[in-house]
Amino acid sequence: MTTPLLAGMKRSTLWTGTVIDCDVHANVPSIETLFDYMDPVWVQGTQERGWHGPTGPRLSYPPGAATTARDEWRHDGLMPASKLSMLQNDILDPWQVDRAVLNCYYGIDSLRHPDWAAALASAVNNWIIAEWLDKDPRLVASLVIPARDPIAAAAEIDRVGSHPGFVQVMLPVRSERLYGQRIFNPIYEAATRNDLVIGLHWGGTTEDAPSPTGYASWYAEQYAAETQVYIAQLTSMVFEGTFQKFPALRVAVMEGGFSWVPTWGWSMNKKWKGLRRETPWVDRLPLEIIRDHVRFSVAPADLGSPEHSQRIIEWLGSEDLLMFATDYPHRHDDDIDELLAIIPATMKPKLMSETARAWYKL
Amino acid sequence: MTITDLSAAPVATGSKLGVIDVDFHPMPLPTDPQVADHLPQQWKEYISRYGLGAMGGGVYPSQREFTHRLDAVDDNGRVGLDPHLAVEQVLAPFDMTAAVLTCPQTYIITNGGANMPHKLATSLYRAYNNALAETWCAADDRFRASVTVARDLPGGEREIQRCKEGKFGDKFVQVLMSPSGQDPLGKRRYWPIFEACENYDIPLSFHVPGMGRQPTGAGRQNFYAETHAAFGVLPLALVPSLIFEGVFDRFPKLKIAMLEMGWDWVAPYSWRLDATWEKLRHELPHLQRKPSEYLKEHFWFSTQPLEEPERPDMLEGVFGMFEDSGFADRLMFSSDYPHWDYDSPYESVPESFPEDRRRRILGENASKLYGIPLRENSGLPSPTGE
Amino acid sequence: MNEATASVKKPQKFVVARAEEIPPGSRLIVDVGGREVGIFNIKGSYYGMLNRCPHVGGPLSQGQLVNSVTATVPGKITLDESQDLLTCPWHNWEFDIKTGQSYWDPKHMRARPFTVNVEAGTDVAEQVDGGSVGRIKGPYQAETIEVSIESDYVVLSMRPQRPGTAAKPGACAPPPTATTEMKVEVRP
Ligand code: FES
Repeated sequence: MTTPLLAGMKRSTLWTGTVIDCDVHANVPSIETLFDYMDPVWVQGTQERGWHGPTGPRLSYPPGAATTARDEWRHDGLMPASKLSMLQNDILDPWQVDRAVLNCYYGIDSLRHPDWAAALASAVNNWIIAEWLDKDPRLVASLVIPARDPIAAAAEIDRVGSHPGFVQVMLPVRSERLYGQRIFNPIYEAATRNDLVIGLHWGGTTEDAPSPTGYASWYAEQYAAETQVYIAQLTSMVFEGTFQKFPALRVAVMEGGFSWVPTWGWSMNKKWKGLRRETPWVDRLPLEIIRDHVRFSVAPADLGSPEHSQRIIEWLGSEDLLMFATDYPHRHDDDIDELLAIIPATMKPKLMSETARAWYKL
Repeated sequence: MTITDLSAAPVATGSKLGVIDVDFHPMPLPTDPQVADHLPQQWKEYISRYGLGAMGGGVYPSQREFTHRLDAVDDNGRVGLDPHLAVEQVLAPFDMTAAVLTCPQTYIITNGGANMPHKLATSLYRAYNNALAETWCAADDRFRASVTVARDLPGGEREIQRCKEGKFGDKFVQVLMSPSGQDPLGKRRYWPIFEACENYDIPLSFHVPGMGRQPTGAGRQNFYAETHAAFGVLPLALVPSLIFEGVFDRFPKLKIAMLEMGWDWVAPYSWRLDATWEKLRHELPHLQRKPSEYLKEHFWFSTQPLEEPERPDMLEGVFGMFEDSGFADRLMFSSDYPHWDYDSPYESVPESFPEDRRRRILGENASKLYGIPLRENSGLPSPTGE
Repeated sequence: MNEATASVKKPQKFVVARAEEIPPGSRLIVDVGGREVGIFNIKGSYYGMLNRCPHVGGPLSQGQLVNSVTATVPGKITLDESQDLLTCPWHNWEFDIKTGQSYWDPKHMRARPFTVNVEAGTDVAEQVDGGSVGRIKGPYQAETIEVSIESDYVVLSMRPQRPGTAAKPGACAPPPTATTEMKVEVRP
């Protein structure tokens, strides 16, 4: 069985406590949807050029793939997760969520025109406020930014970041440059200024090869290998000293899994002990920095046998790192009851709500 | 038949734990006689006039000039040049059966071989392969060599043939390529290499760093420590391409040795591969089995750098998970001599481990993979042997 | 062994070299009853360090001498030339030459430092005669050092200044042959 569907199961048999879902999605059904929220110059620009919107979403989430939307969550031929009612009926109501963090991946960074990309980000943020945040008090959201242009991104964060519904800035995990590099500091300055989490999320620039070895043939290949990009981004942030520069910075990793965290963390620790002099601002063990500044969603969980998965949880070295998510409408077959069965009792409420509540200050 | 059936390879039993080191680095430069003597005059002159772009310094200087351990410096201030010093520092003290020489320097210096005249690149790879055979293997019969091929230049299979059918043919026990390149490994352009490996029944190995394209899926790193800490990203990109492209259904005898790319990530990553396949099977009708099964059957790993969990008592769990997941006969001792993060056989495989595990990792697994019989009565003392 | 025999005067201080044999910027590795110790002259001050790294036993005294490098935030790197560190020739861990403290783990990880002094030949000769100072063969000196009253001598005290951290037990012991035959080099 797959728990996100709660098929034949009451939510209360799974978990009686509070639920915060740290990753649910809103999909922009079409570029036209955004026209009401966009500066007319770009409405005309779009129409005049016959442009159908950014390519990012279709490349990061191929329309027919199961990982893009579970069959049960494809309604009447409409784009999955494109209406509030879908999210309410499929997740918010049956799961009785207290709060859910809404993420809209619209591939802003797959549009290269700097002004147009900034306008597109603003339109998406305006749409999220009007169509989602204002209509369901259970929702909080990530704001989107033109990530290729950190100055413009910071301006957009300052424009809407004070809206009480925005709790996070979405940073798509694939980029042309690694996010720890100083050129991105304006984004972190603006995020911490507005007390927002940085959400490292699936997706991102789609022109460059997605891995160190060039362009994959199959989507599955790229999908499985995406872990390496998450690792590269977080390693960059650690060694560049992003967290020393911005001690208040909080990062959430979504759709990246977590089973790789301990062994990668050990490897960083080991190298740091001997190579510390190169980046002397890294003043303590890298895995400790990760524990202080990063949280991970559990969709996907990519679990192994209960015994082995339990070992991974133990090696995380903290009960505070994982946050429950359904990742609606994406399909993952991990059963949250399996995860609940292998974690210590004290960790359960943290996983299901408390960690996300603290991280997003809900 | 499955290729895991390697039981025919002779493994000496005895009172010693035989040791084979599967990652041992000669580090000559193209200007050193051991390499230069094998270069056509034309290219020697070319190198002295135009240099080699990737030589010297680098964009993130490592902590030491040759990323070496300081005590491996020879009388001339060089590292990895003298086979006798290497024997004296590693092979002799640990009484090894063999050391498999790997020379990633070849692709580091040529930046994968793509940014120089084609003939220069292939001449350089050839010269390095000759140096391993004629300088190193000739100096001590415990050395074995890798045929390094330029991943993205045509003709790799011919270089494999030249080495395997030459005078030192038996000394070449594997093929070595950069873990990254212009294309993912499963693509057709690499099939002739796979075919040659199958033909000569030798493993195809990969060793950090990856040369040829950006080192991550999101651009280049700024620090040596950062690249080192993220070496684990390389196999995560390499493995799914080989598996999902169906390479192992086409080349069922192909064996892959992953050197200096860690191994503690393998079990958790196999869960992700299987989960990916479950969700996206529709795209992969050509795949005959679960990804983790290909991983178990076709991949080998080396110990160095030793995994260092946060608490020493976690180490048993790390080894246990790897072994329980079907990889007990897939881990091979490697020292990475003469690099700074060198491990001795006592560090990689502590004496506190069960003898059976020590025996497998120190020598048996490599003996079977490379077909190198363990020498009678050589190796580390066995606690139970008389 | 009873108290009485245990306290029989084995010298705890050893004449290592004539002062001018270890000029500033140089080092000498000596063998004291099977224990190798690096003697360093840094700008006229002498330091001693056991030639065994507390990590996994690397020949620490053959490492590089460097200064402390710190940064509170990225972009502001400073070199503190008053703090001398010895980095291990293997995994490059940094150790304070004075205290033996590991830079990354000052609380739990220590190399083993020893006190080294320069003493006048007259004093040294007296102590040698009295048996409280021993003379040793340096690995590169064919003969036992002769003490003459005209020179100054470098005297190494083997009394524990502070206990060092033992290398991880069992896990990483180098093989016996490597220890006994380990080549010791003097690197100026
Ligand atoms: S042995 Fe000295 S740092 Fe590892």
